[in-house]
Amino acid sequence: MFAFEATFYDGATSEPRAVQVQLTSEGSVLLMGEGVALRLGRGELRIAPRLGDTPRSIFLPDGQKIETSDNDAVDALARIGGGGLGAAAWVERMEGSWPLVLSSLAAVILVVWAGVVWGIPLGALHAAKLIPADLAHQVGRDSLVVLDRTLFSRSKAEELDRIRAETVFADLAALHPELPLRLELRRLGSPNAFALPDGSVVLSDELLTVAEHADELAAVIAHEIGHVYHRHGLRMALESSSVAILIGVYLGDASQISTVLAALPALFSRAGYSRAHEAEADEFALELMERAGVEPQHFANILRRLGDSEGSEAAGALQYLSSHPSTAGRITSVEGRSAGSPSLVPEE
Amino acid sequence: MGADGEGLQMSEALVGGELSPVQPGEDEAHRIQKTVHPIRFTGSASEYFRIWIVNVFLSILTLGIYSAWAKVRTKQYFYRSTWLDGTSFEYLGDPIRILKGRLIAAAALGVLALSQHVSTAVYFVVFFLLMLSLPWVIVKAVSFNAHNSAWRNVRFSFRGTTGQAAVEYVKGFLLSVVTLGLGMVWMNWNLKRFVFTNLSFGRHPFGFHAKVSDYYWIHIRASLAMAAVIVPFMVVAAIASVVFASGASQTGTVVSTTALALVMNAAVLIAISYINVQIANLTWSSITVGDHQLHAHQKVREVLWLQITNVVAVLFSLGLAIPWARIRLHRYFLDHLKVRAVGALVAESEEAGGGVGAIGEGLGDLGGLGFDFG
Repeated sequence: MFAFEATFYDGATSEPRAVQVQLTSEGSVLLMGEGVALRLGRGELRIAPRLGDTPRSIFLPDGQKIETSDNDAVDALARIGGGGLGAAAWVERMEGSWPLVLSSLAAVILVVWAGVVWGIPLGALHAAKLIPADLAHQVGRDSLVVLDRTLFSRSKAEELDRIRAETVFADLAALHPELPLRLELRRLGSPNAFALPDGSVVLSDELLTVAEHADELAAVIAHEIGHVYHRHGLRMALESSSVAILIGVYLGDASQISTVLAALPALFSRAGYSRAHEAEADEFALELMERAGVEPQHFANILRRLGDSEGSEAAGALQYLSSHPSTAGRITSVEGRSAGSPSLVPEE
Repeated sequence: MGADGEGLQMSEALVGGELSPVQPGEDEAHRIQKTVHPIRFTGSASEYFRIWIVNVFLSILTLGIYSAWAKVRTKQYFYRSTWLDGTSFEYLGDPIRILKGRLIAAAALGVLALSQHVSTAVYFVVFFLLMLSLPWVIVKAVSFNAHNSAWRNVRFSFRGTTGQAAVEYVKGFLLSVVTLGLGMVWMNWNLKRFVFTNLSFGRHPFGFHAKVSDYYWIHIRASLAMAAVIVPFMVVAAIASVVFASGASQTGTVVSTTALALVMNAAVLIAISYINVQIANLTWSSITVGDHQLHAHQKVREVLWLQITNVVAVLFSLGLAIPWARIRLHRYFLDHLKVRAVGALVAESEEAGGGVGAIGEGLGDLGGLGFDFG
């Protein structure tokens, strides 16, 4: 037998009326107040779930209700009367307990982390396989056309350099006849190389001069073929756009400023995915070089040489560093594998 | 801030200095009490954080099904923390109906996605049909939201029809096209007018008294102010680039283009914020409920500061500051909203009508259309 104070609303007007709520010993509920005298069975009450410490409604028959901030009393009423609040009480218990809240937080962080690290790349891998070859081809051609108009200019490489690159490329491409590989030479302003989804491998004139040995060029080309083989271009596009979409959904109700700044995490995750792709392409390159009879040491050499030219040309370095893992780390890892034993030198 | 409603029953007399209820027998016609009721928000970041993270967790665990309950709990928390005259608002939406709405919305989008595989023509037909249903969706969403919002056991309601909404949309769309976009401000004003003039609290209809010319003035002022900042700066930057180009130094050009980009972005950001805040103030201050008048007085500088700090906090906390950011923005909005009441805040309920389907609510959610008030 207990009682608490509440406000009664008849539902016809917004007029509040103070009432006292009593639970009688025979289990019925009494409402007593100015102009209010009601006796109700416990089954006629519908108690709203608790939500933090906000006021709560108890709905009565005929659109009437009472409201109170005395949450403990309402909880007691819900318990005594039986029936309780079912699943809602369970949710309240979670929200009310910091250990459970922090466990939920840990679980959410774990799921999001796993999704970003494994889920999205795995999804992108399968989605990239589903994209038809002619679409991939179209995407690759279109991007080369845009790049030619904006950043690239026609190759002015020496005849000798050009022939050397074409020979090396043809030898390596012959080992992967299933890939639609094609060599494109362009002037970029810095030693660089990349692959497009249609199988085009673009080498810059500057790279041809920096590479002192044909086998060094072979290492770079093998790495780029690795990108084509693993469909990194399409996977990257899928991965970074899914992060952007997820963030967009997550911050759905935010203002324009946040949509602008939401690009930042997408950019960071892009660099992360990119590093994973580079490692995969390095792995592929070393295998292909072994099959072609090229010493793995040449890979380390060209990486080191590109590292040197990074120091001299700040603009090129920025572009190179943004998408690739640290050069020193890659050299260590390549040399470790070429020595046939895991690297003892710790990566930086 | 305490969650106690008792301390919030503040009211200040505007006219006549009369705070006590009108005494019987006095000349009531000349002594109608005018009172300002501030709206207070008592939601706390700590409390909402716990609700939010449990919502996210259970939504993931149930593969999204719980999100309907999560939505109700979130809305209810914000409503129940919003106080007017010592009583907080109440959200009565049924999660099951919201879930049904969301499932139908998801099915519609699924059909749209699948139709892409059939043929482009079929895709556009489905897309066009979905676009046609938009006025219906919006009317359903506003109705559902209004019907399930209550204060002191009196519900809000919306009586606009799909036909009316469709007419307003077509009018706004045609005018925008004919005026090359200038009509969009009118369309925005007109849709607000459509929503608010069809809204009621119990038996008491809402009124919307904003003039469309005031909407345009806000945009004109913002554009002029933006031009006043950007144009001189562009001239300076142009001169600077000529000077530096002749000096064969590239750094100067880079610095002046970067500075120009920064100033232009900042100017656009401030102009958009100015427009949003002023339109919000104008819109809310133009709303009457029965004889009572709403009044909003947000400040551009303060809102901009809140939004920028919110974005920084959300980014650097990897999203964990989202509850805190939402609470403080909402508190700012409600702390700058008040009701200028004429007489007592007593409302009568409408005759009980039929229920309102939640399909619109579900579709409105997916489309990112927020139709919130209160």
